[in-house]
Amino acid sequence: MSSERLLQITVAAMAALATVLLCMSQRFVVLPTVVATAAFCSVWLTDVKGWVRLSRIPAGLAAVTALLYCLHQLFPLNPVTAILEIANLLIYLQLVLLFQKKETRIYRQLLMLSLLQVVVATVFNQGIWFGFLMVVYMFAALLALMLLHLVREEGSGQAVFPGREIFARVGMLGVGTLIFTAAAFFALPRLGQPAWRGQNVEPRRAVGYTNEVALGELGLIVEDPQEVMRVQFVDPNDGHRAPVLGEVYLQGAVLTYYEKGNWRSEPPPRRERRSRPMPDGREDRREISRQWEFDARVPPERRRYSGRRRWPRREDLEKELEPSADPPQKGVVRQAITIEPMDRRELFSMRPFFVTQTNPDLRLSDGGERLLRLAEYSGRRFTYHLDTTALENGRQSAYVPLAEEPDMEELLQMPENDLSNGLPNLTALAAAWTAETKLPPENWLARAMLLRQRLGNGERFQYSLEGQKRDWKIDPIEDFVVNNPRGHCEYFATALALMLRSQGIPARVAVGYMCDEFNDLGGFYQVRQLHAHTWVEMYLPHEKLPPGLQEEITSAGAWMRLDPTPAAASAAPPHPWIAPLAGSLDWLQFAWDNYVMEMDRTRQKQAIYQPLVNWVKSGVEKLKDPEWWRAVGRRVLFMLNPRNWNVSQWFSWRGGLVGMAICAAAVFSFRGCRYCYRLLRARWEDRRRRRSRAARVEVAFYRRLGAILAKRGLVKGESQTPREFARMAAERLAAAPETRELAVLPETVVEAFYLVRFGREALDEDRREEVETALGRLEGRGQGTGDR
Amino acid sequence: MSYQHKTKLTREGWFYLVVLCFVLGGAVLREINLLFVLSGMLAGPLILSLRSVATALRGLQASRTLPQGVCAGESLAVEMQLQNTRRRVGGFAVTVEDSMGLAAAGEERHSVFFPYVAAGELRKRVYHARPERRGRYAVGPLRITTRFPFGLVQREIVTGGSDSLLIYPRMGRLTRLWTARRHEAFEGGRRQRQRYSRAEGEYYGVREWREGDSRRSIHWRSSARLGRLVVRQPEQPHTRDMAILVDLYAPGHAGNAGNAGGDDLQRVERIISFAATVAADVCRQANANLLLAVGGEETRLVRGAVSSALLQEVLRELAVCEASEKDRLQEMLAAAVDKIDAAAEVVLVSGRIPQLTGDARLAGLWNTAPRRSLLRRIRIVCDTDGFFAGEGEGAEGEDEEGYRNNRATGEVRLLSQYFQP
Repeated sequence: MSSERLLQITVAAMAALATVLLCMSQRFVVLPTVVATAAFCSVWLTDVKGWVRLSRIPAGLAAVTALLYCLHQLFPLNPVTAILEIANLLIYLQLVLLFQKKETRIYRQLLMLSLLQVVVATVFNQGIWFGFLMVVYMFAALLALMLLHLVREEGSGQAVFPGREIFARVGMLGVGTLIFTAAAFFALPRLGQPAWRGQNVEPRRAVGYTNEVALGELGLIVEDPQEVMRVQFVDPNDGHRAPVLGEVYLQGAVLTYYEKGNWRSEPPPRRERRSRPMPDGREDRREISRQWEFDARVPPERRRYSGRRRWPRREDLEKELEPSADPPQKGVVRQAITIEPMDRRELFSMRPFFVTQTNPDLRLSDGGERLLRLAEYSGRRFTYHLDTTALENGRQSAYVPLAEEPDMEELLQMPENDLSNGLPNLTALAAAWTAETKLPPENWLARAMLLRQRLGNGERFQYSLEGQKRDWKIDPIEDFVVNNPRGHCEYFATALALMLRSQGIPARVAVGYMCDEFNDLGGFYQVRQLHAHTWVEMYLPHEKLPPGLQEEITSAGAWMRLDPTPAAASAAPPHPWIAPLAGSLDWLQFAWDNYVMEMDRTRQKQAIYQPLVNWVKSGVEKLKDPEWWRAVGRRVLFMLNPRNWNVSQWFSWRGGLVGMAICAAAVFSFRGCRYCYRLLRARWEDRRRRRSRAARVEVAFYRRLGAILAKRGLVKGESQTPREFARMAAERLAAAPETRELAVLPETVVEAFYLVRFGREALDEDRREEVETALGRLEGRGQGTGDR
Repeated sequence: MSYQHKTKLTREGWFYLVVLCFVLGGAVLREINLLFVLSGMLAGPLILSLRSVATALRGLQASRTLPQGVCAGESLAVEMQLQNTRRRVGGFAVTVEDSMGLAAAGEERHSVFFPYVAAGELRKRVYHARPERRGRYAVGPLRITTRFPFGLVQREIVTGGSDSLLIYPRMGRLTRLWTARRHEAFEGGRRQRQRYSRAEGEYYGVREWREGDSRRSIHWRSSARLGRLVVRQPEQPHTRDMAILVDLYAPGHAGNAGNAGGDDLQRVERIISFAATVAADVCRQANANLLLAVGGEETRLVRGAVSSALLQEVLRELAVCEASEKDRLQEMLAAAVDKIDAAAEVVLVSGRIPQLTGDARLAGLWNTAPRRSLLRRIRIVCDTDGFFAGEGEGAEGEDEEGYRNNRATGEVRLLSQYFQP
C-alpha cells in the first residue's frame, strides 16, 4: 500500500473518530454513523476510484450552505446551542472536504477540523471511554502527521515506506507523547478554579429531598450512577483522615406527614377547613385569625411544631448556621462535603452536626432539620464543612441526641384515609406481629426492632427497583402490605414508620443518601444518585433509651435510626472474567475521575505536590538516620543469603519505581555530562585550531628568514637548532663590515619564532612589527650584498 | 571535515505552536482538564520532534561524485550518496542539498530526497544541473536536512567543505567555411610539397623531439646548438598543426570573463568558445601539434601533440582565463612566436582587429625571417561590430586602419563566418 493511500485511510478514520468523540456526550448515534459511512465512501469513491470528486465551486457552495444552515440553527442564541452548532458546522465542512481531491491543503484542513471537533468535545465529555478514544485518536493523528509529511516531501506520494518501521515509530512516539502528557498534566499549575466538570445542560435532579415526596418517585434515580457528592472525614485538630467504617447515612430532609402515598414535612393544606362555609354561607374566618395570632406570638423557628396550625412561609424560617455555643470536645470529626450542582438548595450531612465558625453560605431551616445553601450556590459545585459527633469507633451511631423534645402529636400522625378506614391492614399486620411476640407496649425499642426485622428479613417483603402496579383505589402503602409486597426503600421506610405510629411509637421518615462506596485512594465516600435512600427515625425518650446510652444523651431523648430495607435480591453470578473486567473498569473510571477530571489546584496539591514533598522529606530523613542504613544493611544481608531467597520478596512496586527513577536519573546525568563534555571539548578544539592556525601563519616569518639567509649562503644544518643557526648567522654577518649591524636581527626573529612555536602565544602588534622590520632589513641588505 | 548543525521550527511548526497555545490557553483559563490532556497530546509530538530530528540525522553520511569534462550549456549529472551507518535504525525523509555556483554569481541549489535509507545501506540518487557559464564553480558544502517525523521541526547539518568543479567553455559549431579553409590550407600545403619538395627521405629541416621519435633521427649538432633535443625532419610535414592565439583584451571590463555582462565580455566569451571548439576539432585529428596562447589577465601558453590530455589542459586554461583591461597581445605573441612550428596554421582570435605591423610595440617582433614568415601565416579571426566579412571591403575607422596594416598578414575574417555558438 502506498503511503498516500494509507494517509487517506487514516485521515478518513480520524474524521469519523472525531465526530464520534464529539457526539459521545449527546449520545447521538446518527451523525457519527453518517460520518463514518461518508468517510469510508470517500476513500473508495474519491480516493481509490476517483468517481466522485467535488471541484472547488460545488465544494464552496456546499460549505456555504452548511454555514447558513448552522447560522439558522443558532437562534435563539444560547451558549450551549452555539457550541453544538459550531461543532455541527465542523462536521459538515469535514464531509465536504472528504469528497474533494486530496492535496496537502485538504489534508491539513481535515486534520484541523477533526482537532477542533475534539476540542469542542472536551467541553462536553467526562467519561473514561472518551479518554480511551482520545488516546486512539492521538495515535491516528501521529500516523497521519507522519504520513502527510512523508507524502509531502516525497512529492508523488507513490513511494512505499516500510510500514513496520513506520508503525513502530508511531508506537514509540505515541508512548512518549502519553508519558509527556501525563507529566505535563500533573505538573502544569492550575489557577485555582474548580475543575470543569462538563457542560451540563441541567444540574443533577434532586428527588425526595423536598418537603413533599410521593411514593415511587425515588425509584427513578436509584439506578443512576451519577456522582452527587463526596464526603471526607477528617480530624479537625490535625487535618488527617479520620477512620470511618461501614456505610454512612447522610440525611437531607425529614418527612412527618403522610397521606395518600405522599410524605410531607409540613401538614397538608386544610383548605376545606378554612373555606368551610358557615351555616349562614359566610366563610369561617376564625381559623385564619387564630393562625395569625399564633404566627405573631410564636417565634418563627418554633412554629414548625405547631402542626395543627397554618405552616408559615419557609423563607421566614431560614436562619444562618450559628457556631455552637458549647461545642463538644471529644469524638468530633469534621465532614468535608463537596456537592455537585443540583436543582435544589438542600444539603446533606451526617447528624448531628454543628459548626465552630459562622458560615454565611449555609442556612438552617425547619428548626434545624433542613440544611440549605444560598440559592446562588445551588447551580454549581459547593463545598462545606460540618463537625459531627456521630462516629463511634469509626462507625456511625444509630442515635442522634436531641436538644429538646419533639412534638409527639405530629410524630404519631396517621393518615385520614378517605378511601378506607385509615390503614387497617398495615395496622393489623403490625398488631399481629407485636402480638405474636407479646412484647410489652412500653418497650418501644424491642417492638421497633421486631417490626424492622419482620419487614426487612425478606420473607414476605421483597426489595425491588422495578416499578410495581399499585391499586390506586387504596393507599399505596396498604397495597404494598396487602397485595404486592415489592418495592424500594420508600415503601419499607413508610411501612415501618406507619407501623410504629400504629403502635404508638413516634417516628418519621428521613430522606438522604446511604453510601458504602469508600474510595481508598482518595479517602472519601463517593456518593452517587443510586445511593439515595429513605429510612426511619424513631423517637426515644430518655427513659426508653438503652441503659448504656442514658448517661450520654440528654433528657430530651434521641432519634434512633431504623433501616428496614432488605438487601436487593442477588443477581445471577457474572461470568468469571466479567467481574475482574468490571472491577478494572471501575478502578479506571475511579482513577480517571479522581486524577484527571477532578484535578484542580487543591487536588493537585494533595495528590501530587504534597506526597512528593513528603516523600522527599522522608527520604532525606531516612538517609540521615543511621538506623535506616543498618536496616538496609540487614535487609541486603538477609536477601543475599540463598536460604532466604524467595521470588516474591525480590519484587516490590515501590522498589521498582525507585530503581527506575534512579536509572533514569543516572542516564540523564550521564547524557548531560557527556553533552557538556562534548561542548567544552568542541570549544577547546576550536580555540586550539584557531591558535595553531595563527601559529602556522606566524611561523611563516621563520621560513622567510631561512630563505633570506639562504640567499646569503647561510643554510641551517640539520643538527642545528634555530638558536644555534641564528648565532651562526650572526657570527657570519658580524664578520663582514657591511653586514655587521644586521648581526642581531636573526636572533630577534628566532626568539619570536620560539615564542610562537613553542610558547603557543600569538605575537602582539609591536613584536610582529619588530620581526617584519628585521626581515625587511635583512632582505634589503642581503639582496644588495648579493648584487655586488 | 567541518560540521555545523541548526534546528528550527518550520512554518507548519509555528502554526502548530499557535494551535497548541490556543488549546492550552483554553485549558488554563477554564480549567478544563481534558483540554490539558489534549494540550499535552499536542505538545508531545512537538517536543519529541526536537529529539527525533536530532537523532534522525545521526549516522548519516552524505557525499557526491562530480563529473569531469563538462562544458557550459551541457547537462551535468551529479551523483549523491547517502550512507546510513547505523546498525538498526533506518533514516526517513532525508533531503541532501547541494549548491553550485561561480564565486561572483549567485549559487544554484539542487536537492535530492531520500525517502528511506535502511540501516547500513547506501543509497544513490542523481541530480541534474546545466551550468551556463564556464569557470571554476564552487560546489557544496552539503546540507543534510530532515523534518521527520512530523514536519514540525527541521534539522540541518552542513557537512564537508566546498569542492570545485571546472566547467569548460561552451562548445559551438564550426562553419563549412572554416572546414573548407582548413582543408584548403592542408591540401594546399600538400600540393605545394608535392610540387616543390625534394625526394622522400631528403632532409628538410629540424623539429623538436617528440615522444615516440626514433633516437636515430636526433640531429645532435642542432640539439647541441639549441640546447634541446631536435630531430631531423626528412620532408615538409603534412600535419594539421595549429596555433591558436587568443586575445582577451576587453577595455573597461577587467575581472572574471565568466561573469559576462556587457557586449565586450560577451564577445570575449564567444572568442573563448571559438578557441575551445577549434582546439577540440584539432584534437580529434591525429598527427598534429597544438599550441594555445591566451593573452588575458595572465598570459598562458599550452602546447603539445594532440591528445585528450592536451585537450583537457587547453580547455582548463580556457575555462579559467579572464578578460584583461590591459593589452597583452604583444606579451602573448612574444611568448608564442618562437614556439610555433613553421608549418603550423596560426589563428589569432580577438575582439578587435589587431595591428600586428602598424603598432610600434609589435613591429619589433618581426625582426627575423622566420617570424616574418609566421606573420604572413597568421589568420585573424575577429569578433567586432565595425568590420564585416570580406577581404578589403568596407573597412571603417580604426578597424579599417587595422585591416590595412594587416595586409601583410594572412586573412582577416569575422568570427561569425567561422563559428556558430
